[in-house]
Amino acid sequence: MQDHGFIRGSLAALAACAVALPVMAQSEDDTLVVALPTFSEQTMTPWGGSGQRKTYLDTVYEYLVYLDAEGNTEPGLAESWTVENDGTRWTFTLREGVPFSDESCGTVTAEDVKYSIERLIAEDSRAGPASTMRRIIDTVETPDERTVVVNLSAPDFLLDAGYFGEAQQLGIVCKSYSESQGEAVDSAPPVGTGAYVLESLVDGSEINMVRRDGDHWRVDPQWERISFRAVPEEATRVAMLRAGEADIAPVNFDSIAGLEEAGIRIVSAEKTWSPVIRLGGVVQSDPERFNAELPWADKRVRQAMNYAIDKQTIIDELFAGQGTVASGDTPVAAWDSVPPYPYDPDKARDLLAEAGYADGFDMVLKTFTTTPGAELPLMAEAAALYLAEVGINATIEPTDWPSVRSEWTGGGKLDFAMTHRGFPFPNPENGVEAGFSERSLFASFTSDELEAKLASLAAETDRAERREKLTDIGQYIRDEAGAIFMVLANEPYGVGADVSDWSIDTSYVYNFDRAGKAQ
Amino acid sequence: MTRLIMGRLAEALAALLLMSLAIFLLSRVTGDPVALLLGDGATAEDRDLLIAQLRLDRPLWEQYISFLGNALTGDFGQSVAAGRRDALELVLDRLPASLSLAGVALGFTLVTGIAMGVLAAITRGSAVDLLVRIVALLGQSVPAFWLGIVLIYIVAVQWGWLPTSGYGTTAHYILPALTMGTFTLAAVTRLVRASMLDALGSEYIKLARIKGLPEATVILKHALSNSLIPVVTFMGAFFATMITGAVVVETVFAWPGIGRLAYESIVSRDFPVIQTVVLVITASFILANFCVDMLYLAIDPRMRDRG
Amino acid sequence: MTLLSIRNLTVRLGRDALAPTILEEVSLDVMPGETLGLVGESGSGKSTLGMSVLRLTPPRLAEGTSGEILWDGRDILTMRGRDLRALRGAEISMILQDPMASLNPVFSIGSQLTEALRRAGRSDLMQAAEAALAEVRIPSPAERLRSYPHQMSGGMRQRVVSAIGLAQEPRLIICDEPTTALDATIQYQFLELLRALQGAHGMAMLFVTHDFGVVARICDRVAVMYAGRIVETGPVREIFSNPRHPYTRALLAAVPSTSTAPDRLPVIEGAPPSIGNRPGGCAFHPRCPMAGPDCQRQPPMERLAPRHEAACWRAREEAAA
Repeated sequence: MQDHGFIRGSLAALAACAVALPVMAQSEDDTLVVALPTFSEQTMTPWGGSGQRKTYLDTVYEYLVYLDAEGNTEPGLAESWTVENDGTRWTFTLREGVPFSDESCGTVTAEDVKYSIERLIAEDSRAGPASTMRRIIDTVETPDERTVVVNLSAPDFLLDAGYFGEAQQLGIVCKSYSESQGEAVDSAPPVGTGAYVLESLVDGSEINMVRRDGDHWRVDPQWERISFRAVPEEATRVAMLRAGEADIAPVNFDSIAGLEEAGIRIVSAEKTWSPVIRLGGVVQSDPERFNAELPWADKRVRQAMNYAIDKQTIIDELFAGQGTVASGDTPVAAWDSVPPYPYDPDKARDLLAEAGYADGFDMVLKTFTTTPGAELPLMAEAAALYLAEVGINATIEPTDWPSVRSEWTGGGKLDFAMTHRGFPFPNPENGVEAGFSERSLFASFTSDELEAKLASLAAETDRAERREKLTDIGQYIRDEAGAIFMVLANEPYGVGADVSDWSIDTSYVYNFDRAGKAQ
Repeated sequence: MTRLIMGRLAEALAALLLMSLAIFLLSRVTGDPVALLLGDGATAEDRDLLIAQLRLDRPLWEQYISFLGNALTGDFGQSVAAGRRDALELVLDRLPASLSLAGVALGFTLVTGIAMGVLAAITRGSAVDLLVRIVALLGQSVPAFWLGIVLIYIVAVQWGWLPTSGYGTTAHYILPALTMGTFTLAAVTRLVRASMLDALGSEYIKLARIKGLPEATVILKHALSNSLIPVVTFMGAFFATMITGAVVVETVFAWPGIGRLAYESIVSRDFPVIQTVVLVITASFILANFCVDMLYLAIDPRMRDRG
Repeated sequence: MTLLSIRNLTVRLGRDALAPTILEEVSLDVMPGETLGLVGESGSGKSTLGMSVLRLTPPRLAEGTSGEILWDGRDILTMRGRDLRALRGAEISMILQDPMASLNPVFSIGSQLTEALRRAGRSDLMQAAEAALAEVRIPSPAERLRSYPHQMSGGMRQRVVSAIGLAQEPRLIICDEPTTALDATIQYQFLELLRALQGAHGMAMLFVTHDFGVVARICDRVAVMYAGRIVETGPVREIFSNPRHPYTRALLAAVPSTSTAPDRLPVIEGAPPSIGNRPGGCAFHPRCPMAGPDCQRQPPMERLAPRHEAACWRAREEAAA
């Protein structure tokens, strides 16, 4: 009975709200947009945080040594170098006339390199390799402007490809600029020798790089700008690729099929990480950390666990076939010859019976997700199903990486297993030490025999011998079943049609400054 | 009035103090940042060095007192993870993004929710009413994460009307605000519909009609002004829902706000940032509730005589 | 010449012809300047009748309304939005039952009063509002304009409601039990005020009440309702001295000699029938001391005297015992 004119008016107003909204501009033609899961600490110095920041920092900072697709060294800011004194004295000759992006800095000098090294290994450095580098680097000398001499306290024949290479964190900074910034340097605009400089940034959201004027000594960048976006949610990154808003973004394995259908190509960094199940409490050489009560304190039980799981099927189902069965817990080239455990549940049962666990046992398997590593919880579930087949009853406990990391490094006799993702170390010897040396808080498996092998490796002054000893260590860890080795996995990236050629050959080397532009 | 404000101020300080203690203790329950900051291969000596650097070797109460003392002078400490940046500065940098998103979402929610609630009430029992009620029910049952992803895929990927994510232009606000506001929108709609129906059946609406006032005046002035009182009452709660929802929405839409900062700082066990972000959020809650109280006084004359 | 003429007004609970009725075939006239009392127990439909005149019944009842309500020869029931708004307040106004609920709690008295005055085309709104409050004998009216309803007593609020009702100088004012919620002394004062206002404005009044005591004090004529029908109408004096319908008699018998307990309903054997459960024929017969077999049929309205009508087969008989 009331006047309904008012209602009609309201409806019209509502409808008006839904009318066309401002239509969006596509991503600008000259800008390469890279969507990353995280900016990590979003600090701008090599020493200000983890290696994950290399995604954006490597367009600004450059390294003494670069690596080709096969992992061979190539000259970088160092034109040439020699190693003497049984691998404890390295002399780098710097390339001449490479200018920093800040004019007041001039060109790269030996002082800049010395400062960069010392800053990276300083006690307050937050760089991942800082502590291990600090232990081996004894002194840095600068006999002249173009020469840097590094004296080591232990032999390292792979310093060039390793700690000083492009896959690590020794980006060369301008000493005078860095010192002038004082405490604020971590968040000050970075000054390096790379082809790009920071143009603008939105905290936690965007880091925009712009190409420097003039020719660059190393790369010929095709994109005027590179815009890095922090996009934590994978589904959103996939949507950005599909909407043409992002040109490159890491994606999960289960997004691959859909992206390819939508015309997005997948570029995979091959074998760059290693999903694994680490067994706690088997730091056998340290009585504080060795839990002898555990079923898997017995080598046969560890082997049985490796035989029990059909890893190839897990790779096919969970990793979209993008990986190979692992024989170690981190990707190490020297271990390529080490054969993985085959899938043999009968053998697993026999070994368990021999060890006195014919009826199996109960265990806790903790799991979490990381990037990459969204698949870890599913991998844990799959592994638990296979383990149940041979009588091992694994209870899955979801947790998060910081918690489990605190627990793992906290010392004491651990009594659980955890999923983990291993990353390759540019110098594999360092990786082996981190995981299998009693000195390392992160060690998951040690033995007196292994300690001896590691000591022998550290003391070895012959390059070929070193590689052989490293392979031998890999074989030993495999035979001892130091972990449940699972997968050497690829890391897939979705790449839009505007990008012509771009590839990743090594972990932590992203080549965004070398991304091609489709015509 | 002054007494009311002073009372609120005392309450606010007590709440902040209590919150600071709670968050100080809670954030330390599941480990510290040391394990995360240590590089692979670090030794026990490296760990001890780092613990000393971060002053985590001091007794908990001493850490708390020193935190509290510094906080009173405006020094909330330095971020452990983000390059020793000033924690307060880090949080304040991110605050505008969150507040503006929550503000837009709340504005959208209130305008649309009130409009839909009024519409449903005045067309009670009609198809429009039914539709509004179904939408409201769905809005309260759809998880924000799911809704956000679906909106991105339909509106941004399929139709290409809006950007998928990110921060910067007006267009960037629409999808996250929609996602953030939907739950509250449904709540507001139901609340307004119910209180509108109450109001429309009231004697004072009869009197307004008896005066011969146009229907629009009857509904928008006389009925709506009363129906808004419960909405204002719940406004503090709505604001809280938005800020809590911010973690999910800011993650899905890559929005650089404090929701994500809170999440990231918890993941990295960045104690100074966790403490600062929680205290800033608490303070903004207190401020929001104070605003609600003031609004309440403005809208309901009965409250003015009570205070 | 009648001011308001209600013809065969039937109100059902919905559109359905079989839906229960609240009002059945009600016909009633209001003359200019007169005060007509509409008396009945609760549930008799008397409030619905008042509401129907201003088309303020809830949508379901509005749908089920038939008959005619003639005002100046035009049927109010067929009026559209604008005409209806022109009628409300300006021609016919109403004072509602509950003074505590009929003022909007969030607007000041001044705001609610000037709203009505503005429609009456007054330009000197604040002065007019002050005068209107003064007219209903509210002390310090200028200050009261800034008050909110919750700051006033029930009696004061009802005066404000009256001022709002009278603001546009209507020709008819419907009072729906305006004194029920007030206590006795306030009630008396208010009735006096109403009577004075009616005299001053020369308007007609339809006074809905369950209280014959109130009727005696204020009305010229009375219509008695029972179960949705008018059972007897006549001048107050005649109805009091010579009630013809047994229900009217019962009501009168139940009136306390003085209005000490005006809130209490008259006491009659049995209970009035609920809507949808009304007996056939004369609805009162189950409670009627004089009922006979013929009461199974609906009695017609019968003229007993020039202005006195009743609907009862026994209307001409004297009361039993």
